[in-house]
Amino acid sequence: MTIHKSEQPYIIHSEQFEGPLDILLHLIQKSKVDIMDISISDITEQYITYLDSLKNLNLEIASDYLLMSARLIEMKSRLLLPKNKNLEDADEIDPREELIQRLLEYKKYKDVISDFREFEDIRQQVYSKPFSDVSEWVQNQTLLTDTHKPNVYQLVKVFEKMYQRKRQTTFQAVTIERQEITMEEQILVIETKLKKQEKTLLSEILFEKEIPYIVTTFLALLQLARTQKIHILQVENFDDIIMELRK
Amino acid sequence: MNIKNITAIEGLLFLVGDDGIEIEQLLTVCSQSQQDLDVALSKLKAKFNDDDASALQLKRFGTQYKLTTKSIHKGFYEHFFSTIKVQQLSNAALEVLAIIAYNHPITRAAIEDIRGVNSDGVLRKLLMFDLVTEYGREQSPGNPVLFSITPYFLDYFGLHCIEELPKLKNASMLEISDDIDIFMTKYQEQKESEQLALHHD
Repeated sequence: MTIHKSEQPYIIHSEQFEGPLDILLHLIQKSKVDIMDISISDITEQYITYLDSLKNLNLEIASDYLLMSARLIEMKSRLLLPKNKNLEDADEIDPREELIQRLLEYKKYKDVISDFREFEDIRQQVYSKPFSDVSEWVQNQTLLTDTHKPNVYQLVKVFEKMYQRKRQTTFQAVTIERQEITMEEQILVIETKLKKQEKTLLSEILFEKEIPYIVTTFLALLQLARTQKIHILQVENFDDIIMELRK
Repeated sequence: MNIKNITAIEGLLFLVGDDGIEIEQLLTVCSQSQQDLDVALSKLKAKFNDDDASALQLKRFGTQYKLTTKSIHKGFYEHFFSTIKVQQLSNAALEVLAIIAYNHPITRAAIEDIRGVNSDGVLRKLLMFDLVTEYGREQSPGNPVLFSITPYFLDYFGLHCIEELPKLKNASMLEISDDIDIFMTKYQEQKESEQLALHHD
């Protein structure tokens, strides 16, 4: 298979490729060749030409792309070597075969993405309201029947949720007194509170809705956990966080 | 089951909103059998979903029930709110999600092997969005973290269960069978023309 000058892959630069395999699939498709029939030599040339065109645009090329270049060149050079009829070579995986398998594997997932998009789209056709604020008429009963330690991502999620809830329920004050509290001060606040009452809830501490305050509280919490001063517990996923002093 | 309780479930669903309510939670609160609960829920579902006069519907995502608006009214709501934010995942995110969904639990290295590209950033984002979660470690050198999908993943894509995902298509099979077909057709044509040539002699 020869590539005529007119068939040179002048890639549309606005196209977004998700990696070297994606680029290769595109090049193969463009050449109208079956994946099983690709010529390593041709595909290597096309791939490197594409990377060069990216360089001309001063786009940084991630190392994964260069790694693929190296692999392709190595494959190409191996295929150029005279074939040995040694028994050792019989065990060698055909490099072309390996590449084809990788491409087919990747293509499986690439092809299913459109279905995922559709699911995403359909799901976003319907809306639901956030959790109602029942704090005015519900006593804060936390039954520690089953506790587990939340990880950092879960903590962040809880903070995010709390922030969202606060936004809805508190009035936007016209004048907001900026009380800048430091992490150290917030640590003291939390520790003092915990000395008075055995446990405290995150929602009790987060009575300000300002982002700096929320962030400071988050850091204070992490610091207290890190220095082993408190236990952080959560009953249900995304529930309020319970803090208690470590004995 | 008590009529009052069935009605109250509706109220509860309203209150919990987007958080939804798990079947488990309902069982604990209502102290009814799973069967009674299922009947009650399907009655509730029919009440909303089949009624054109109802703007709400009862949806299930994974094991979670929640009340949502209906898609036919989407345009109306959009118009009212002028602009509604559309959150879409990037292609990279969908790729990683698909790989995890069909192979869970799976390590980051295995994901990157399939994609051929670094996926750390995308994975972090997916963790933050609670679409994937850490699911233990693999018993191999380095004990790398394993990743799996979350219940929210099902909600995000509007699925009841993971089995609702489409089957992956094995590209090679399609291509091979196509080629064989073409080959056979051409072979037949060749044979026929040879036969004709023989007769003419």
